[in-house]
Formats: sequence, C-alpha cells, structure tokens
Amino acid sequence: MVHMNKRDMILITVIVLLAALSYILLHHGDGDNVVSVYVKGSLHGTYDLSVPRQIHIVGDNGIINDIEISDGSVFMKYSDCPGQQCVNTGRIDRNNESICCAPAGTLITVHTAKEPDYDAITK
Amino acid sequence: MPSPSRKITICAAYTALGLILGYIESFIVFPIRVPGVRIGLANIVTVMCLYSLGFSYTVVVMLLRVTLSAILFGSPVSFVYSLAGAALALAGMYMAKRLRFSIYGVSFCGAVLHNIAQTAVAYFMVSSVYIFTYLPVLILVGSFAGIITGFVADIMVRRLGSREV
Ligand SMILES: [Zn+2]
Repeated sequence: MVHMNKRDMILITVIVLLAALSYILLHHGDGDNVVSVYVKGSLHGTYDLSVPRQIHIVGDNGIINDIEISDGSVFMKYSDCPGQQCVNTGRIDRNNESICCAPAGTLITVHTAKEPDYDAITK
Repeated sequence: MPSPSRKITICAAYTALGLILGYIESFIVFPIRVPGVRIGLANIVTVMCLYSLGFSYTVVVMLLRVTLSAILFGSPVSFVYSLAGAALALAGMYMAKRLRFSIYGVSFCGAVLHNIAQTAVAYFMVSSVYIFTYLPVLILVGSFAGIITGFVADIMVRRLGSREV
C-alpha cells in the first residue's frame, strides 16, 4: 500500500485549512438578518433588515445616497450619482447580495440566512 | 510496454467504466445548491488511466467519456460542466504527478480542481459572484472525495498491475 508522502500531506493540509478558513470568514455572519453599510471603506452601520428605516449618507464627491430598509429588504431609494447603477440594482434580501454606489464609495451588503435562489435562474 | 491494440482495448474499458460512474453520479444529489456541479466520480478512471497508460491516452479517454456521456444521458449544458471539470482536473493531475506527488496527492488535486472548474462554469451560467461563496465547501467536499478516490485508484492500479497492462 502506497502511503501519502510528505508533499501530499503538506498540500492537502494547506488547501483544507485555507478552505476551512475562508468558509468561516464567508459564513460567520449567517443566521443574522442584517444589512451592513460601508462608506469610503469603513463601516457606517449595521441595521436590522426587519426594522424599516431610512439611511441618509453623504459620500465621496458630496454624492447623496438615500437607502431604505422595508419589507425585509433594502434598496437605494435615491442617489444623485451619475449612472444610477445603485438605484437600478433594486431590492436585495439574499445573503451576500450587495448594492454598490461606486461614485459615492458606498457598499450595502446583506447578511441573512436566506440564500440566493440559483435554481430559479438556471431553470 | 503493452501492445497498441491492448492499449486501445484498455482505453475502451476505461471509457465504459467512466460512463457508468458518470451515470451513477447523475443520481447523486450534491448537498450544496450550486447548479450543475457534480461530485466527479469518474475522476477515479482518470487517475487509473493516467497511472497505467500515461497522459495522451488519458486525454483521449476523458474526451470520449465526456462526449459520450453528454450524448447518452446529458445535455449541452452538462457537457460544458463535465468537460471543464474533467479537463482542468486532468491538467492538474498531470502536473501533480510530474511534481512527484503520490497517487493521493494527484487524485486530491484532480478532485479539488474539478470542483473549482465547475464552480467557474456555474458563475458564467448564473453570472452571479455569490456562486463563489460556495467554493470553500466545494473544495472541502472535493478534498474528501479526492483522498477516497486516491485510495480506490491505488488499490485498482495495484490489482490490475500497472506494469503489465
Ligand atoms: Zn450610485
């Protein structure tokens, strides 16, 4: 019987540890039901998705972002950025989904147990 | 070295075995909801073939298996998934073998790369970056599958006697 050699063991250990570590980093917030808002790279606040609220932000270049949390989801209600990509993203409510307003430097990310429904997309 | 006709016969046997494993695999539901991603059972055949017949024959067996499998019980979509998985797995196994990893390390590389390739295909199909949040789990499942595959392939190659094939 061939046994694993040293190379195998090092490779397997490194890959398994990296995968386990990234799993923990990616999924440690699962089960929460929150939305995190980052402005210019730092956390502006973390809000409960089930509590309706409006968040007013003045981001980079003086760009105004009005974010609304309602009906268990979040969306960019108003932004005076060029392009309006953030507004067009619409409502998000699934885990790791995000809205980005690049001109204002705003990032909105959902952390919830509700996983994206890929089956519906591929069918 | 075995005669060319003997090698061709063995290729046919490996292709048939790979087809059966691919068919069995279509009944195994992956516990993770990433569309199209399969566990890669047929990688056992790729490992065995690589060790007994070498790289060129393995490429032929892999292409035959993937194509026939798509025609017999697949679809164009499943063809893309299995070709991407099998091709990247084989490339990685070939490299790992040259870098003097044992059959365990070789099969481990194959299984992990198989899952990475299929996740990448799922990303293009769904065009959602969130697909990659499943990658760590798929790599862990692949690691486990790869070590088991290495164990089975090791026994098989030994029983069949890689020298006399
Ligand atoms: Zn914007």
